Amino acid sequence: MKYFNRLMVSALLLTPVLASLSHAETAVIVSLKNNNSYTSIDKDLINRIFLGKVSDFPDGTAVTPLYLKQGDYAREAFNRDFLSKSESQLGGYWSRLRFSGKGEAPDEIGSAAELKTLVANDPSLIGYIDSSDVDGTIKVVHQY
Amino acid sequence: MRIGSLVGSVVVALVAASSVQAKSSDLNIYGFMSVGMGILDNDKVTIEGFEGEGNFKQDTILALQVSKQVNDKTTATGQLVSRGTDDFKTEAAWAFVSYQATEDFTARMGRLRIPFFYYSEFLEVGYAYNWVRLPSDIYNIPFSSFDGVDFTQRFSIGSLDNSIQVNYGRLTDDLNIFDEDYKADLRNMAGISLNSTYGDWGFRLGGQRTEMTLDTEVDTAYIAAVQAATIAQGAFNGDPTQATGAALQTAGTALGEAQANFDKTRRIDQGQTGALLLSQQMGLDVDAAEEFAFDGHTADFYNAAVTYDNGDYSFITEVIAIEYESGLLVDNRAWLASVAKRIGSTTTHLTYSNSRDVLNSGDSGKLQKALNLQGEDKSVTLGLRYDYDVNTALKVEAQYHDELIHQGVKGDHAMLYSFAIDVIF
Repeated sequence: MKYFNRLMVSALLLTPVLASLSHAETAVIVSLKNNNSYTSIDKDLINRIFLGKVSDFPDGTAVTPLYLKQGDYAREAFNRDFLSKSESQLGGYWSRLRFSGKGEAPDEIGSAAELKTLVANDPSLIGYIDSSDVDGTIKVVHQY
Repeated sequence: MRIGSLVGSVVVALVAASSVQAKSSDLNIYGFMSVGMGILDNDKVTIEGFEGEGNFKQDTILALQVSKQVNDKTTATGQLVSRGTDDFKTEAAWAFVSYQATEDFTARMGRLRIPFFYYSEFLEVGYAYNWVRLPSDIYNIPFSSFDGVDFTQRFSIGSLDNSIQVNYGRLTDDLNIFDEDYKADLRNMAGISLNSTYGDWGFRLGGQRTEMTLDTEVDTAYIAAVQAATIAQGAFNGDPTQATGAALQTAGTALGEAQANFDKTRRIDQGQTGALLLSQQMGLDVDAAEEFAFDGHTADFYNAAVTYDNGDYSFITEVIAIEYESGLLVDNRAWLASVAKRIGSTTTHLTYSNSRDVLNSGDSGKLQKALNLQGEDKSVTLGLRYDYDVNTALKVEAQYHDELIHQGVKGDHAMLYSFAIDVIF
């Protein structure tokens, strides 16, 4: 019984460690000056913002999403976890909008550092980076 | 140090601003291309424009889209499409100026696609769907663009994101119907579409109306020859003399010549001529001259669709109804249901589609039946899409197509095997 308890405790302690090892976390970030940075933004709304279905932050101000460039590890994780799409499905999604004149895919930024600089300086932008790239220049509104 | 960091952040801000601005004022060039071939195993059946043997031109298409942001709210966009079916003549499928009045309201003017059904606005972008080509049981309307305006308002209700699109315009063009060309003037083309998404689900409702005028012609010489021959036959039957016999023979010869000319006219011309003759012969209570014509007669297109896509599984079902005021085209009901499963880069999909013409009620329908206008088709399509890389898809599919009724009589069935490469750039 005692042995069992100890096992339970160690399992509980290990769980978060294992979880963080099993997949790299993606952090969705906004400017420190963004009025929405006091709260978190839920995953459903992030999905809709990054697919161009919603054009406002929760407080009603305009939002412009930024992607990382194709092939970036954080982009693959974000596409899978937040958009539920493969890179090809995402390409198909935007080609439907682009070739019917209804929308353009977000700008693609070359690196997490560049993306952080852009987001830090413009409260209308929202982006995502690997959570290991998070620092004090930006505010995380969702982490998965 | 303070000045240094201030200058630094100003530079960063300027760089950020200029990179965003450079992007928006640039000329953007995108495109899509499909190369495909199909092999039909039965040359008695024509499906998707294929008539037996391998054929590359049918599914080959190249399109270039150029857009230029003129100012903050105004963008000019043109999409030039070159199709194998058109001997690679280049045509503007889209050419419009769009004005984004607010984040959620856009007005467009110019040449636009008609948003008939779910795939209509990107019907030639093969990369954007799993099939080699869209199911022809539904996507077979002989015109796809119009000149005019459309307005789109987006709005959200909780997590339900919607867009309402209203369009109005006109199309003056040559239409290819049953492989023959007609000069068409489609006036007062007006419609409304509602598209909504909720999580992995999508919903669509749409309606379009237009007034169709085609350059179809009644073959009056043929009608006169038939009537003259009928009278001569009657005269001979009533009074069989050498004189009435000779007159009958002359009328018969004239009818033969008129018949030869009639056979060379286009199918809808023949239908229009036939409707006048048959309505008299059958004693039907139909004003064939008025009803079996294309002189501003309305055509209505209705559509509803439900979609689901969670990235691994996807599903679409789409139902359409077309109502023609003219008796020369038969009202149509069609639907499709398609499921797809993606594993890694490979997507397997299975589709059933059915198209059924519905005759008018009463004598008008009897006349349509006598003219052999109605058809009924069903298709089952099994296909594979392989995403070779981010911008390239390879597709193979096998389609079983059954013409249950073809031009009023029992049709035949066939298998169509297709292969295509779709690229976006």
